[in-house]
Amino acid sequence: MSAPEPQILPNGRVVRYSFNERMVHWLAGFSYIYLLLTGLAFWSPWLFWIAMALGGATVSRELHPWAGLIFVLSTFLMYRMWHRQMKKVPSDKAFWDAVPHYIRNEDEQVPSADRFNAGQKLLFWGFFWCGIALLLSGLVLWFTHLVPWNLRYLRYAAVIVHPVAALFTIGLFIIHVYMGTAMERGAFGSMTRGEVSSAWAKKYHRVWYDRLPRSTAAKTRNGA
Amino acid sequence: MIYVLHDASNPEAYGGLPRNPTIPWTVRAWKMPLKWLGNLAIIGGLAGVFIHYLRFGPKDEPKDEAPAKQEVKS
Repeated sequence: MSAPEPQILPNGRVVRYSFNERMVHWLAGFSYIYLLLTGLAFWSPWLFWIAMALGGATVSRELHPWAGLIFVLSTFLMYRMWHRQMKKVPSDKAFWDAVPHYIRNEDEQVPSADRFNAGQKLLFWGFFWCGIALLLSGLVLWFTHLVPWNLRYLRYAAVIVHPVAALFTIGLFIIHVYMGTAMERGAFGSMTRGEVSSAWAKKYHRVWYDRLPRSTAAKTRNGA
Repeated sequence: MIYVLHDASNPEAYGGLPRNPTIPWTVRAWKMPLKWLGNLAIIGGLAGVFIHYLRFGPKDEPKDEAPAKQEVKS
């Protein structure tokens, strides 16, 4: 097994997400946005214009389940990449206790986290479990004609499980997009370019930062 | 979905269709409380993050210290 690549670069920047991680994230992101838009069109007649803007009702209805499969696939790939780092640890409780400070931007009173903080773990597991619920209920709604009459309760359950799970993900998505683009500056760049500044990594993920392998030049530069 | 039967007096003959069809409670729950609760939750979520931005704004982006400039001797 080869040695891990240095994650603190000679210029002091920190590699936060690898190319593969970013590709999988954006695969999930774009497929989810399509599912969200077409799903909202099916949700309410007031929003049906979205389906028309995306090619019409038939196209939206046909592509929605296929986009769902892409989203679920990318969710499973994320699970494979990150599930070990997303496990609950005792320090997560300290983060939740400090959430009011986090909301008020009093970050000096928020304990620094490992690679993912407790909020990111909630997002990850929320999308993972809701993804499974959406997949199972979606398959029933997709292949309604194959569900025998004596198993019709599956259809009745799917009718309510699918939108409830979708609503949970919408809540998570709103918070995720807001935090990643507007609230926490530097976070969006980590998912596009893959890098963050050392200061950013130290501020939000000090436990992770202290464990990172360093290049020789970075050791000299950061005095580590 | 609407079924038009030749013999409406015997729906069981058509693949076991029920004699007195009813709308499942899950569908009724989805139509009435859930849709409106969902609408309120989505609008509330969007309003919540917007108000948060107005009230607290973004977090300060931590910047790396610039490397010290070397003195140039003339």
